[in-house]
Amino acid sequence: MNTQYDFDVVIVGAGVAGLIMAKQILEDAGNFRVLVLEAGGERSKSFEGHREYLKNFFEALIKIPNSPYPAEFYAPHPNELETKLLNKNDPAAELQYVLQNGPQPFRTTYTRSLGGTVQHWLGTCLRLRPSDLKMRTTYGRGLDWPLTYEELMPYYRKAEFEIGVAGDVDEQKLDGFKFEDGYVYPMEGIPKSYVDSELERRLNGHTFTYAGTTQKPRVTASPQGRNGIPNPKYKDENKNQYVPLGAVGRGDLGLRCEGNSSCVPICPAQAKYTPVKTLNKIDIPEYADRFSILYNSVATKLHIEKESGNIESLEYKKYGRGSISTKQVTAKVYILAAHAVENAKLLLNSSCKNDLIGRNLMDHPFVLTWGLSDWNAGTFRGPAVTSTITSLCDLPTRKDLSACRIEISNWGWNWATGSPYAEVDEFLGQGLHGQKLREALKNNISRQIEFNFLTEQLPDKDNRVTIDENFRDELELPRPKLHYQLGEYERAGLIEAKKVSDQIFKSAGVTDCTKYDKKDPGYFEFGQSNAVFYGAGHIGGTHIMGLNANDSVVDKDQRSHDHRNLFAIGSGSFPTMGTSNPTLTIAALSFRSAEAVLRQLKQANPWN
Amino acid sequence: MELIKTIEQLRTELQAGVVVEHTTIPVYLVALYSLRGDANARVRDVIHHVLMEEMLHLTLVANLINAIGGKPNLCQKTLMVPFPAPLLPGNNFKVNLSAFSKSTVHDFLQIEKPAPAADQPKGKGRRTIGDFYDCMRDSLKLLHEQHGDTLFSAPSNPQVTGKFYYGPGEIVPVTNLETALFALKTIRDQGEGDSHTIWEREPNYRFKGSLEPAHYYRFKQLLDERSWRLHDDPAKLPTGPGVTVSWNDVYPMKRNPKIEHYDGELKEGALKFNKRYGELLCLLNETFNGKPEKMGVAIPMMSQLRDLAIAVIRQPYPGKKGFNAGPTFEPVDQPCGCSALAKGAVAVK
Repeated sequence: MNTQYDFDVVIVGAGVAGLIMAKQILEDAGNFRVLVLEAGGERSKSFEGHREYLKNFFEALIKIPNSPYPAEFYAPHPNELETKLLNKNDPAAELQYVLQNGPQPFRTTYTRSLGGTVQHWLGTCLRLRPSDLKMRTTYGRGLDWPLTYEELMPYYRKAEFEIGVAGDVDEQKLDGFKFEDGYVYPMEGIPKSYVDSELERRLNGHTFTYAGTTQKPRVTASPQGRNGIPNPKYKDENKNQYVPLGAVGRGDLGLRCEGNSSCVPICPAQAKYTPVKTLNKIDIPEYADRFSILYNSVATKLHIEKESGNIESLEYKKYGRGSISTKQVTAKVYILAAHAVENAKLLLNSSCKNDLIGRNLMDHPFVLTWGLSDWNAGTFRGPAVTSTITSLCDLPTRKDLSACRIEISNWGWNWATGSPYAEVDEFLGQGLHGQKLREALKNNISRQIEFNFLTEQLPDKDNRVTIDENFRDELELPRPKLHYQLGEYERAGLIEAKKVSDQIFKSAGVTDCTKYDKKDPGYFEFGQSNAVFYGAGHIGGTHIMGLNANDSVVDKDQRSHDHRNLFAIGSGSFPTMGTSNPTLTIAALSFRSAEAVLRQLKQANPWN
Repeated sequence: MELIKTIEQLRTELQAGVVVEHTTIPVYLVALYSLRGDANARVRDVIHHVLMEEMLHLTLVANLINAIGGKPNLCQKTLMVPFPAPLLPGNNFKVNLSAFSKSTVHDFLQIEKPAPAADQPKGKGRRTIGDFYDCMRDSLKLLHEQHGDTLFSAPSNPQVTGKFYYGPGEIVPVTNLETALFALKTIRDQGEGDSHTIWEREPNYRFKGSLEPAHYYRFKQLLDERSWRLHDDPAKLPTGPGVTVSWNDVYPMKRNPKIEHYDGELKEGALKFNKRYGELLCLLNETFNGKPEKMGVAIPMMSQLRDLAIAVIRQPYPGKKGFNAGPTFEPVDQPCGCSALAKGAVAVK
């Protein structure tokens, strides 16, 4: 073992990408030493911390994704309400940690604490489609990935084991996904909710028009990273059946999804995967002498060796009560797993030269539509989303407008109006109380149908993260500034979504109640139509992968083209977004990149 | 306790095990329901965890009965008994439905009292649950010597497996001597342990590092308001970090409440609870008598019971100033789908 370095590997960020990476390196026979630096705190490591998060959620007046997870004073993160654009006349915009330079607000946030943004993920575990990775070749839009679906397949399997995916492979096959023969998910699929099944039944035989084509609504159950019934046919790498992992600190709880439907922002049962479950596999006595994780430690700068371009050390600030100390750490390999915006911020603050750093910022911008069914839909049962309408995920129309995937909400109009709290407020305002109030709520809430149309955003170099020396955080680090707008491609896709919604609602016996507010920060117009877009919490781009330093920041192993002992991992590496939620792919890429890191560590000179 | 000589008798005795395991459940449930607000989060954890393990024990005993050709009887008409209720045949100790308090925890300690360690002389007269299961184990071994594997060759019903059951500990389908002994050992070790050690001797946990004290010692932590450290002496006080117990954040429920004292909405609420509880037992009866998938329906009912119970326990007790009402766990005269099933079920002592 080379003791010239403090560690073999330093990983920045204790989220899903970083912790899977740490686990893979520690489990290797090479006895490598790993340090993880986490900018935020460790509350999610204990059951008591989870309770504290739950309390925050229950008490929050607006239940946004970051509502259970308070930001650290020294490691702030944005929240969903911080959408004010920088404006000389509005000093409040400058107080938002992430500066919104416009022209449109970036409505997506992330979380800086143990577990990262995946603490408030929905849990949907769709793979990317083969065509999602070949957008340029197939549709003449966006970019191609330097990886094929076939290359990713074995790593998807590893990711599905690690996260613990409950799903139905046969249904996914019908939806166009390829799997190895005989493969099943670790757990049997989470059943479709009553809303899903009723919509499926009522839409059977109907068609709708979409961008000049005729389509059938296809309701598909989503594979999900939450505990269900273990599939007896599943065999892991050691030929064992899958054993669900329970709540952090209370392994006897959370062994099955309880259908609480508050998955975003917090699963009360912890049946939903959290990266802390991965941490618990490596934070064990066997690894105690070669694994460290430091909380409240913000990576601030990579020091680059002039000639080789290799990273020679990483500077970080450790903060405590009233104290901040600056430290250095050296390693053979450095891995940035701090999520797209923070990875870019760190690379930019380290004066890394590649002009593409921070560029091609993406999300799954989405519009909501909502209506009241003329049948009892039994809303608010089951996890937040159990099925999606997948008919529009991969059509030839992708050459003209963005593809979209329609999530069917089990949580009524929660995203759209703040249901059920908003309705209580409204009916009280109408003077209803007692029995009448209860009747009115029951009648309204159990018929609430909401669709979320998630669209694919293309990489655009002008959508980007920069850092601004004039605006600094409490550690004196320049804060991230976002330049963001939806292109014609995305706007066209979002507007078309509303037209689809109108037709589906009509076929299913649902009265449209959608209203887009001109004053909403996400309001936009396109042609004769308008809508309000939201951010899905799926940040991509900022250090995209590709073939060389001219077209990308990292290679297919997520290794920097310019700094050979530096990896930047996570959805920041995605060259395009597809319409699938990114976490499963982030996890799969981590498994894949871990092999590259291990190969590099085993070389005589790991810097080559 | 004398060893059992026939398979028939072993089935009957194990059914007594079903009754014993079930008798603890209302007792722990009521204590859990009585905790008010969030102040006793730790207490709730301890009782809840033990309660879940009692349900596991019940499931394991029922699996064992099925494995040796018996039919476990969980029908409400068998299991719902008036409180105070005797815990074990041949022991005067009775258990109560009472709100969480120091005296309630003393009762819990009695329930879970460890048997003297194997190398210590057995006390006369006082039988523990541990003694009972030791006798079951030794009898099973003896019968297996006599009958061999035919003991397990005609199971009466399918086993309840991890497909339908989840919670702390390991659910084992019982199919032979090895798994039968494993099931009995799990019950024995999680529950009482012995007076030599605080800890469950061989925790069958999926998670590294989650070595739990046996039930007796877990409850003792509440009384002493302090947790055990790994090398503590079981005969002395725990020396680990403090445990917060807020003895006053409890609904002051009257001990062993009776529905005959209730009227109006309170009576309605309490009846609703008892009715539902009875239905749950009959559903479990079906689960263990041929329809293991019914467990999937039974589990959400358990959450519903909590809401029904809390609606009752918040009310004042009629005519008893300063006391609250509570769920009574009394049998309700309602038709029950179990009667057909119960044919051929073992007699209850």
